Amino acid sequence: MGGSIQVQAIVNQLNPHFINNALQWLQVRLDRNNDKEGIGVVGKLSENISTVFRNSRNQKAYHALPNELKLAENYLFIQKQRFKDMLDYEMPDEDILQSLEDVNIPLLMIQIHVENAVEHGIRNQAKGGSVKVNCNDEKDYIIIHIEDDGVGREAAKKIGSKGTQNGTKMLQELEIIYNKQNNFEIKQFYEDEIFETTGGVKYGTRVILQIPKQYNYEI
Amino acid sequence: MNSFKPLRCVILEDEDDIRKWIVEKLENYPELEIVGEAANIDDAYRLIATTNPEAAFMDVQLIGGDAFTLLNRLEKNNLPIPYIVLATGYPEYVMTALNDYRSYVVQYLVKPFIDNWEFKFRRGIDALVGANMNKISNESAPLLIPQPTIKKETVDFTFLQNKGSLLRLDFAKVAYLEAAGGGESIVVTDDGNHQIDLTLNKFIQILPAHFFRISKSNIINTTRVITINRGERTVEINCIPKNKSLGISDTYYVYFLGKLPLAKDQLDKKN
Repeated sequence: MGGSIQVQAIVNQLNPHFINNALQWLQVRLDRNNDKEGIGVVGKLSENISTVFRNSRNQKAYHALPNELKLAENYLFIQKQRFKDMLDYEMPDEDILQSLEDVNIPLLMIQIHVENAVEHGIRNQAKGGSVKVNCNDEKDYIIIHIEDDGVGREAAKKIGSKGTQNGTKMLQELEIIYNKQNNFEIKQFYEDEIFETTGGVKYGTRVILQIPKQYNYEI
Repeated sequence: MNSFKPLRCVILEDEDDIRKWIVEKLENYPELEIVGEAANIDDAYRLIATTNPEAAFMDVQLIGGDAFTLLNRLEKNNLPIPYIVLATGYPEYVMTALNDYRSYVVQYLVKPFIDNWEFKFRRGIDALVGANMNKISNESAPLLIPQPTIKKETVDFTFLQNKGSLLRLDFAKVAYLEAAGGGESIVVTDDGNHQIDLTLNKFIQILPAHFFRISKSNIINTTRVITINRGERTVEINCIPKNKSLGISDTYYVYFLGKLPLAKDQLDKKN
């Protein structure tokens, strides 16, 4: 435990000014080679680094839902440039985002599931696949679906694809702590093998996040 | 745009590769004339002192001191400070700039900003042009009676020469003005329209600060604004007998929004 606190303290010393200036330099070089894709990837990457750093420095483990969706979208944008036709994605409409600005969500809560969908669902499938994220307003909650048509959690496990279990476990622990002090609870569910081929092979995963509109994150 | 002189602009940035890149890009904009560049704070100070630029693209970090130290030094020595597009890799600096230097800094660029730079530079240059236009209209001596305090909000009317007689113009009754060609403008008021032998450029020097230029063709009374359609870049003006919708041109758009009492953070986020 003590070790991890020390590491956190060291990470916080990493100077974002240095990172952003270095990435700016890199973008100038990429522009000289007319590498628009490269510039885009560096831009999105830097946004995500800044978001995580800023929250980490402020010791804030939650942020506004549109910011979290932006993290996930940037992640998918970068992966799309890397994997091309093997990956498609859909994010909620811009119009919805505005209405979500007052709703908070634990940092990385959507991003981690999106990453799982890509790394374990889709990249374990020869033909690739797609990820869809959507948000619905349901009374006291925002319900978020993260859906992929990858191999599914069981099949991924058999292949030996484990990945970010640390991430999801960490989120679950955080959720328990937060929920104790709130009337409306954060919840996440999995729906496995949501699709079936004509040959009877089941595949795909849907993660459902239930995020209360009113929620106290201060411990 | 053609009727304006380009703004004399300096580029202050400590990294050679990035500074050269910015200079190369900005040289393509007719709105700007690059009069010099500098990497360190002393050169930057001398450059501004000798060239007296109207605009600057400036990084917070300079060799030998930061942009805020430079601005302090200029201020202390009573040297005019240009309007600034400020670049920084450290978003916290934006807060400092917002608090202490908001009258100079017209736009921020958060590094790395090369992603979609055309859009960001466009916004920055529009803001520089807008700020300078407004400065000119504030500083110029008023052309017509009554003098001297035409700009003050307390004076709510003026007299205009109108075909040999003097027409009293109550500012509160003016909805908007439209260029009529031949050096004349149409003033649209609640009492009817008047064709006056003055260009919009002259008018903006006479009218109070809440009148604002939104395009080559129009000046509006901002207290008459009902809605702004940001998609189409039009503004709806309360007008008798019927409300009027007018286009806002790119050059004036950003600065126009900056003039209105609205939540700027929200706008930035949206963009």
